[in-house]
Amino acid sequence: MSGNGASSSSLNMISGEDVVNNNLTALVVDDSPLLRLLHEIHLKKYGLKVQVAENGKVAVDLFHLGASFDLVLMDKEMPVMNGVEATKELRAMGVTSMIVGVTSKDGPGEQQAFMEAGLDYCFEKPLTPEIISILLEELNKHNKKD
Amino acid sequence: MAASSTDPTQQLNDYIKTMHDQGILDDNFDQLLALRREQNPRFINELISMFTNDAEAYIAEITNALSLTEVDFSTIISKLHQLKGSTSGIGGHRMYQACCELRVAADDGDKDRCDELFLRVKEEFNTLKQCLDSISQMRSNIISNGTRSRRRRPL
Repeated sequence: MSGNGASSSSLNMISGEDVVNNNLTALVVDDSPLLRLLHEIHLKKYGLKVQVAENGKVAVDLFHLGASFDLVLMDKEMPVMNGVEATKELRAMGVTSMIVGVTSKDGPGEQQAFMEAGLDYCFEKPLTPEIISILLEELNKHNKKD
Repeated sequence: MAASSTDPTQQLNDYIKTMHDQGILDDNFDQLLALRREQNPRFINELISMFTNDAEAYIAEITNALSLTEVDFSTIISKLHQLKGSTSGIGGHRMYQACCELRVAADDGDKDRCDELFLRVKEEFNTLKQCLDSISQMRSNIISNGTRSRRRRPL
């Protein structure tokens, strides 16, 4: 799956076993309670502080209230406000968090529309521990550059 | 020394492998098993229970939407999306495939095809539920036996 301006080959396929961060925060945005829980547990395993939101509007409202997150896992199809709309809104607000789209096995056209909303990467759900560790590796590199 | 076929843990592993071979479960279920060490021993059973309860609710809502004189395809698509998500999370491979096929029919607004494919979704759910219930029961037995044998250890 492609990243925003980056191909999948630019993601370093390094084992994430050593990636344990105690100061990164994440927001899991998904209307499925089970998937919210799974992604939350996976991220907490790596020491992230995790919040959840059941749709895009809740996520956007959190940012409006001043919350900030290093990583946002954004489901595509959600009621009230879907992932495409929420991502556009967050980028329009100036949010620079890493936003990773999480989708079902949709056609390439639909994922492209989601990427163009402002995602950094897009993967099929549920995210595997391997993908999460790769994302955290990228996040750490990005934070070191700042 | 190799584990005998009466070893409950080996029996559970063999059962899960069989479910994989039949396409009922996929790698996503294995990811859940990998999580269990960091969670409480009953984590998997709780997750299975959560999936079953949610899936039954979504199926009931889809049933209702399909039964209307003017079929509510919007609700079907919405609840099917949630059902697909939960199913992929638990690792229900065949059920997930059935949901995908139903989604196509719902997008096309084809009621007859939806009825036919929804029947398959429900059949696959029943199969998956039986599989997960068996796994839950086997795990509960393993956990109980593990607790009892710890209590028997001399102080």
